[in-house]
Amino acid sequence: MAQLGDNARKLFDAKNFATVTTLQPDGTPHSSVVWVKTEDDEVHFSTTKDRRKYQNLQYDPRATVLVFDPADPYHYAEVRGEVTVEDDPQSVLINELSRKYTGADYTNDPPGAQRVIIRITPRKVVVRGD
Amino acid sequence: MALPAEARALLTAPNFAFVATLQPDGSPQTSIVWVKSDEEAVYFSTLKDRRKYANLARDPRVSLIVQDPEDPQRYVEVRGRAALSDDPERTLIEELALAYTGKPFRQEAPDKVRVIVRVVPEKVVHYAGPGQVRHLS
Repeated sequence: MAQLGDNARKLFDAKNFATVTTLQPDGTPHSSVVWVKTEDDEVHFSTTKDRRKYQNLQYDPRATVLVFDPADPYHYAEVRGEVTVEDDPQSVLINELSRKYTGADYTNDPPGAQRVIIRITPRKVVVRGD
Repeated sequence: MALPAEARALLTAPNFAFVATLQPDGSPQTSIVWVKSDEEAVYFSTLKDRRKYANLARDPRVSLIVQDPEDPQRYVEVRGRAALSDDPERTLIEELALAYTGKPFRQEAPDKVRVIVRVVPEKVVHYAGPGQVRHLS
């Protein structure tokens, strides 16, 4: 396991949007934009069980997440690794992330949405332009 | 397939794109690039000694995301395949540098070989905010 490092941590802890890439069942890359936070050396994001990225991670836990500084796009961090997935029936993480990014709890889930917590354990951390 | 207008509007300066390629073991790798587009493809420049070039030469499958700078929760994802061609005159990198920075690109060592990556879209998805996903193709 790699260490996240202070430079990468700062980019993930700020209110920056991250792009997460997972693998489709045929191995094709699939990317989407997520809210993120860090805990120890892990990067965490929230999704729901009906999303493609959740389904992809069930097939193959390998993922990469990239975050950049909007004020200086040449400054960015990429974390590659494998994920663990945990059910989040109380929507704890999505509300925490929503408060971080918008200042309020999350209200966009349809009834019955099944929230999960995705944690990426870094295998490789790349920081550019710091 | 043609690249939809909503995608083209974002796939241009000054927006940065995040490009995902596949490592030799099949795992994903991402990096940030300058882009331009026309009706048929998305283009970016790289060097032959970069990891994404080696990845794309081995497996052309690629995913590219560009966010709306006004609202990063709105974005377009283009999935497709990359065609690679040498760019000895550095035409594309100079065009992109001018568009993104207003200046010529920095000097590079003579042994650095520029390549044009042309991403031909197979799937384009537009995310207009939470729960608002449209498959443009």
